[in-house]
Amino acid sequence: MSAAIAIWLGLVVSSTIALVTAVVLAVRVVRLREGSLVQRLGVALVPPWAALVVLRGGRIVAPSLFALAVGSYLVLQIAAAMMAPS
Amino acid sequence: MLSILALSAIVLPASAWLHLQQPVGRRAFGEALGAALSGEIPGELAIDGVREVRLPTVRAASVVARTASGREVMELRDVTLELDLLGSLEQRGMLARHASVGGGSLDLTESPDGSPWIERAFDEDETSEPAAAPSPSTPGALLLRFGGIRFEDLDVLAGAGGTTARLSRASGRARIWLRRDADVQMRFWRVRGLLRTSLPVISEATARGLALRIDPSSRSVARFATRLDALGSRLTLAGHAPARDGHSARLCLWTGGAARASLFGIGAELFTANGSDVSFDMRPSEAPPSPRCEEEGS
Repeated sequence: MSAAIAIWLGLVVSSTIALVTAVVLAVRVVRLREGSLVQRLGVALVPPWAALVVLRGGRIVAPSLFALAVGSYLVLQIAAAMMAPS
Repeated sequence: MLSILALSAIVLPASAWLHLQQPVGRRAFGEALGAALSGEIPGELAIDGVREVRLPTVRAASVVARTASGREVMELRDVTLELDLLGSLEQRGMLARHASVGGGSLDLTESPDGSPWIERAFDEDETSEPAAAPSPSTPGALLLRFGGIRFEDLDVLAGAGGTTARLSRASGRARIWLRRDADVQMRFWRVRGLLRTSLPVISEATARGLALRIDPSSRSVARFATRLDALGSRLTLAGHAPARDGHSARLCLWTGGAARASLFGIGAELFTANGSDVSFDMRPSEAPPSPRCEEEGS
């Protein structure tokens, strides 16, 4: 498998995981009983903030997965930008 | 959990499509498509400079076919394909509704062992061991079909003696199906353009139609017939190339009766008889409906 195909697959998978976990985190934040609904909606719309709130609540899997996916996506985008155009 | 799976099922293809629009995605698509097609032939098919992937439309700067030894036998530039995605999946090939090519070149010359170079790129080596269990995925099962194909310029190198032709602004239909019984057909019948050859009789002519058949398994790999407006006459030119098995490449010219073209035809006949590896046959008569340039008596 060539580097371009591996990077493209990585981008697709990591962005999918990041988006899905962001939605999961947002739902969990909205379901919390702390604060007003407006406050919770505001937090839910900012996925990194939502991840921190969920992490503080003792849940580790979804925030970790989100952080890993976003980190991987950024690294892969840098790798893609460094590739010489064909 | 089910909602997460459903969300992933929506997001994954959307993300794949979105990232295909990025340079790395276009490059990955070109490499993946090239690798998939190369896996079906002995040679290599490289798709370089993919400029756009908006399925079913794909635009690439060049498509190059090489033999296993690295000799370039086909180069197509500024290629735009409109793929038939469902048909491609059903028939396990690459089917396109339309294809357009800005320019390109095709090498129909022979290798030292007598087989054409292009055959070595696309067709299985006859001396190689046959696959144990032939299947659609084994080499030689490549299917390419273009419902409509159009190209601006195509240079054809047809013989070791330097016989070349340039076809311009042509459109037609192509079907390339490489299996054990190789079946390669390229037919163009709406040629609107200029035919240039290195033959003294017709250096430049307007082509009114062209039937071209390329069959690597045949003694004559390329066979063609075309009607031309040249030398103030309506001519019909047919032929086959390259020379194989002791037979020379052959061209036949029907001049439609006694005309200025007949004199040129006689001149060309004399020239090719003495100084060319092309066998030329001038026929001062009307061409048959399906002109074929065979040896007399064969």
